[in-house]
Amino acid sequence: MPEAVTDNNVIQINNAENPTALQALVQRCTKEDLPIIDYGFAHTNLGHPAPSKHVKLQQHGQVIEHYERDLTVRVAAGATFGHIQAQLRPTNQFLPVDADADLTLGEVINHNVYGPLRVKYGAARELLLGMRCMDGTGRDIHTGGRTVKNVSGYDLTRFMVGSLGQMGIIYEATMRTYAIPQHILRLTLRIDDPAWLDTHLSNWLLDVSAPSTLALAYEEEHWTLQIAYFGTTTGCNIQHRALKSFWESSVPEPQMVQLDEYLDESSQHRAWRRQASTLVKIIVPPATTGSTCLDLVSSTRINAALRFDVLPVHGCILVGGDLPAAQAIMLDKQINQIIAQVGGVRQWHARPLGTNSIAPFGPAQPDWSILKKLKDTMDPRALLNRGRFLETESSLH
Amino acid sequence: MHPVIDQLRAIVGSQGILYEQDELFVYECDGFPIAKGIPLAVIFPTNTQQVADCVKVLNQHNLQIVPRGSGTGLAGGAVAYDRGVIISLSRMKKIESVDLDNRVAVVQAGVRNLALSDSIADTGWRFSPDPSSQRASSIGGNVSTNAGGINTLKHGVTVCHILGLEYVLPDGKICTSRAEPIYDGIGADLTSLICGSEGTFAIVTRIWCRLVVNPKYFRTVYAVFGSTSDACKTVSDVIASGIVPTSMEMMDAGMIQAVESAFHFGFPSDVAAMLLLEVDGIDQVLDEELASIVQLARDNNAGDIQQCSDPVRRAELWTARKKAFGAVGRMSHSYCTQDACIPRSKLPEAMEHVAKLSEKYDITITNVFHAGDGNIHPIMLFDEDDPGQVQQVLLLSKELLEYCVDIGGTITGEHGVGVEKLHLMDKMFNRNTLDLFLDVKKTFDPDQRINDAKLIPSDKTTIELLKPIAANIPGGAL
Amino acid sequence: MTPTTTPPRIITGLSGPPPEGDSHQRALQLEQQTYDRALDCVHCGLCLPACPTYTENGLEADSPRGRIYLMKGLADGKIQPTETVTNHLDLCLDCRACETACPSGVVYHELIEESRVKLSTKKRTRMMDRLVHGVFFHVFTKRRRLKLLLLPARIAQKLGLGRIIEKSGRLLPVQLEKMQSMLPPDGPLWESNLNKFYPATPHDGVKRSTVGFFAGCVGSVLFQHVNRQTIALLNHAGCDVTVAPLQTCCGAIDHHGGRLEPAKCYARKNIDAFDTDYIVNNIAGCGAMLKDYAHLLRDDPNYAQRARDFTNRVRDISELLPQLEMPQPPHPIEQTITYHDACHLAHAQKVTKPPRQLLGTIAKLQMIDLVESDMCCGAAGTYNLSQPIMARELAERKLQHVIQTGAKTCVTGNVGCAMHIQSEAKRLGVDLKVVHPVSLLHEAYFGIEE
Repeated sequence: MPEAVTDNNVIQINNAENPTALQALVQRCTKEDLPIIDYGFAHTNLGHPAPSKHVKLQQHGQVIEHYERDLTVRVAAGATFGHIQAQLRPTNQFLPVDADADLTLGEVINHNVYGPLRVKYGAARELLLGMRCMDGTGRDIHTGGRTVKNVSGYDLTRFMVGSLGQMGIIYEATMRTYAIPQHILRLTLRIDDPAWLDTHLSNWLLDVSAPSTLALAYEEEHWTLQIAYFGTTTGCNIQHRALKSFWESSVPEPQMVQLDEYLDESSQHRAWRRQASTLVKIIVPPATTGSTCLDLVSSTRINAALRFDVLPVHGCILVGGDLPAAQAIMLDKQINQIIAQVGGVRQWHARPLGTNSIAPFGPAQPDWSILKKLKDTMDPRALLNRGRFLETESSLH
Repeated sequence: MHPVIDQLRAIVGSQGILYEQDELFVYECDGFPIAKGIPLAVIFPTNTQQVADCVKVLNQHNLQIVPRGSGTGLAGGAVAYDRGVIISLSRMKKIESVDLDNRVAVVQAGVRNLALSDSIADTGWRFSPDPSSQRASSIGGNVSTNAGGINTLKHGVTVCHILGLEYVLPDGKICTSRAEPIYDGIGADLTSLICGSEGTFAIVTRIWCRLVVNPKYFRTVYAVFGSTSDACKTVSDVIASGIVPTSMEMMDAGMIQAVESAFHFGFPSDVAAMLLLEVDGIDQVLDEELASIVQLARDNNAGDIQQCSDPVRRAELWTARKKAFGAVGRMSHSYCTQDACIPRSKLPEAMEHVAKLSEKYDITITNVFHAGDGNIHPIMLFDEDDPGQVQQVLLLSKELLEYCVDIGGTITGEHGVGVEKLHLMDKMFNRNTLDLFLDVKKTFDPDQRINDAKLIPSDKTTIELLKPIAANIPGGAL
Repeated sequence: MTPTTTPPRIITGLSGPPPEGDSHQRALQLEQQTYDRALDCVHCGLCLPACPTYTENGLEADSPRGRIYLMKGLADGKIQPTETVTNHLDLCLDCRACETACPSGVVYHELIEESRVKLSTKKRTRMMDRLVHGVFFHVFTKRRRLKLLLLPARIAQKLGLGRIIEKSGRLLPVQLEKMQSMLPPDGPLWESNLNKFYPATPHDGVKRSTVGFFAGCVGSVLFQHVNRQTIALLNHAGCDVTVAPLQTCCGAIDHHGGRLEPAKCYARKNIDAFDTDYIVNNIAGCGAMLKDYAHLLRDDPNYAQRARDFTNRVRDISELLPQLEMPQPPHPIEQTITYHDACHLAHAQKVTKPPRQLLGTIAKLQMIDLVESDMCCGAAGTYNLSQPIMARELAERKLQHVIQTGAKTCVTGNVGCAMHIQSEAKRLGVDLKVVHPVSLLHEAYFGIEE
């Protein structure tokens, strides 16, 4: 039987296999007009703050069923990645998402969390097969399923990816899993000019030396490239050798120094180690990633304080670091200028104190008005994560 | 003549509209010729603004709107009922830009799937989704049905390859979702929701397509088996081993013979099943990868295993597979193809069940399908002039699909619901979910005028489709 | 929740309202076998992109699937042969690209040809159409008449009157204007006939085969030089070449026009005329017809077997030459060319590789791939005269692709394509020479002809 524990205004819900408690909660909150807030563990400060009066939801859970021979797994949304990976590991499988061990699957879906593994395995859109959620009226919604192909009904499953917990309370998801690669060869290189990637990445992806995962990092005024090859020892070595000749044949040849080489004999997936927790996530066209990073570093004059974790293949730049308010505002201005030129979006994960003038999401997107309508359909009383995103943002649009 | 004709003609020109009865006749069905309805008119806009203007005019007259790509759909999704007007996107076929640095192509919705990949053939990139209809079907149509294909096992279905969309809403407004060469956005993934919505939310007019590396190195084999269940076990074992082949297709004895008599490929004639299998990746590693698959096949009593290393031979093999359907046409005029998807581990038992149903209903069934995805396509052969057999086929289909749902599968893996599978939706979904589907539909389309009563049951109209009485059942693209 | 106040209205999904007019009258009575073949079409649509007319206008009724649906509709009495319907059927090029694409193996050309025959008897024919048809059937198929007809045009051309005709615009009906414009510019006033026999002159002294040369009607009047070049190449390769004096038109113009009896008559005459190892031709349209004799005469007790035997011996020149152990051609040709697949070579005869192989043997010749190389150029036998507008659109499409290649020479193995593409290039001011592969090969073996 599910249990609902009230601790001040924090409601913890266990055992998502039976959604009754969740349903009862939604119905109760509907009656009392009490918003249900689940901003997530790593995304607490993303978006507008929650109204002062609310109940805070924390789901717990675990792997419900691992269809080992199908390479799919059904998981309660409250299960953490640490738990999920630990459950899968004995079968030599893993869920290929770069999520920290304390993130829940629900949070990963709600925020479309991804990292370098996206290069080889895709993100939630590619991995998510089925979903169960409670909508804002307490309806128990089941979409998708456990098959790898499925076109029956509307794809509300994938729709929920990145929804910031505003469309429904996901309490269960079915995901694809993959076999843990036999070997992982990791390389770390210092690169002088990250803009080299802007013009050469596509050719690199066509080459034998195309990386299985790729990240770019900036710390203490140095750029490093983190490359990994997944596969057999033979394969990894072939790719490694090809990398050298690819660079030497590139014009201009990039200035790089190899810092580290590491063969992951343990055959275990190592989560992405980031430089810092994210202040702002910026998405730009991939071919402008490197130059955008350089622009941000050179013109803000605050580079010493900034940390960058960058996914060049997908044009994703996560900026972290300790910034005082004035510098954060300056950074935001700079980001907005760049986006106005090259296109893209950005969202602040944590605005430093005194920066309320920064709009957390932007620029306004043309489809927000439709999202707002869908929010009204799925959560007519705006119970779910009230205030965080759509009600506030779409009125600006 | 309906007064709307003149208004539409003013927008698309006299060459852009058909409204005479004998012109409309060929638009009464799509790739699923059971479902039929004559439209009031068919219009051929050439740009998004024309689509939007037409939609506004159609609103004034309260007419149903049915978007249509190449008309290769297999579920009746592009059939106009209630004297609706078809908006054909067959003249919106411009590839607007190809941006290799960002790996994105922007195309109008009517561009054929293969036309895009062909246009960039020499660059090393491609648009990955490969439904067997890819030579004919439009990318807009692929998006609307979230089309599958043969290489989806490794490379993913259509939605995995769509970055952004432009679409015309039922009120005539033009809207975009993530319409830039960017790989993420803010808020719920509307692009994914519109993918696979079978033209019931909006008319997709322009698509931002993700381009991926066109694999250079392959190993292609076909392995023959003395029993279907050995072949199925091999598929299940390969998946369970964690190897992800590019594609893994299965044919049973009947299908092998049909394909052989049509294409003379040189397949053996006395086997029960065959797997066609391909891996792609790094040249030097592929043999190793293939060897482990071959071992699994041998463990499951595979007979002959032939490698197909000559590129010409390989192309012929896949052509034979993609055209396998036609070969069925040579066995029987009337046949009905089912499309269901099940968990891969259940393949052996599911195929045994199919055989049992075939016996129970006394209907010949032959199989050719995307085994690696668990996406089965049992093809039922029957005589359309025998009402008893027609009835048996209907009952068989229903029982089969219900069985698939019961073992954790779905009523359609890639062909879509259209009008064909509406009656099975309540087996697939709970009441709440169906209600929400309808609410979501009405959020986009409050008056329920865009392709209403398709994909999900409508509260306004029910399209009743008594299954085959006297017609040929489709079709071309498995 | 969605409260439902009234139950949904039920409409039947099976068929639309009955067609207007008298639906009981079956306007088209197809032979049972042909009707059954129409049923082979499963409406999958894989033929759509292969069809030139559909590619041009995007109309379902101008696609193979749509036309089959129309023909079936006519045969079932669901629709009537209105002008609209027959126009769609007439717009078909009969290029047979759809047959290459069709997975179900629908033999489309038999269906469209039979339908046209049966519908043409009911169709009212305009004066001008009748004139054009008359020219097709009674002049094009008779070499002497063709020469006579062309004589005034040739004289006009020599005197420079052609330009006046060109400028006069609408003075000539569009079809006749087209005929005039297609006339190759450098032909003699009165083309001389070929000899009856050309002995082998093998490059290596080895005699290989006896070949009967099929000269073609239009070919032997307008393209006799290509015929002579073909013969020279065959002689060089070690073949004795006879030009059977009793040979006649291949019958294609009649056959496509739905006149089966005259076509069969031509076929019998040709079968009687040739007794060589091979029957070689250099015109794709004629070659396709010659290879279809087995089907055409399948019910003729006296000729069925002979027709099969004849068909087995027919070769396009590009099919035969690679089998004859020719040496490397000595003269390089420094040119950039592109190759257009004639429909009746690529789709009807499935010959696509040999011509490219042959051209590949010529030193310094650069061949650029043509986009949509196997899509019809719009010539399609006499189509460019009967459907000039679509024919022009298709030629423009073809020329755009040719221009993209940068080549100034387009090579193709069919006189119809050559004349059509050449005349359209001229009309549009495109600097392009259309030549037969044989002409290039001849130059590569024997140097430039004086």
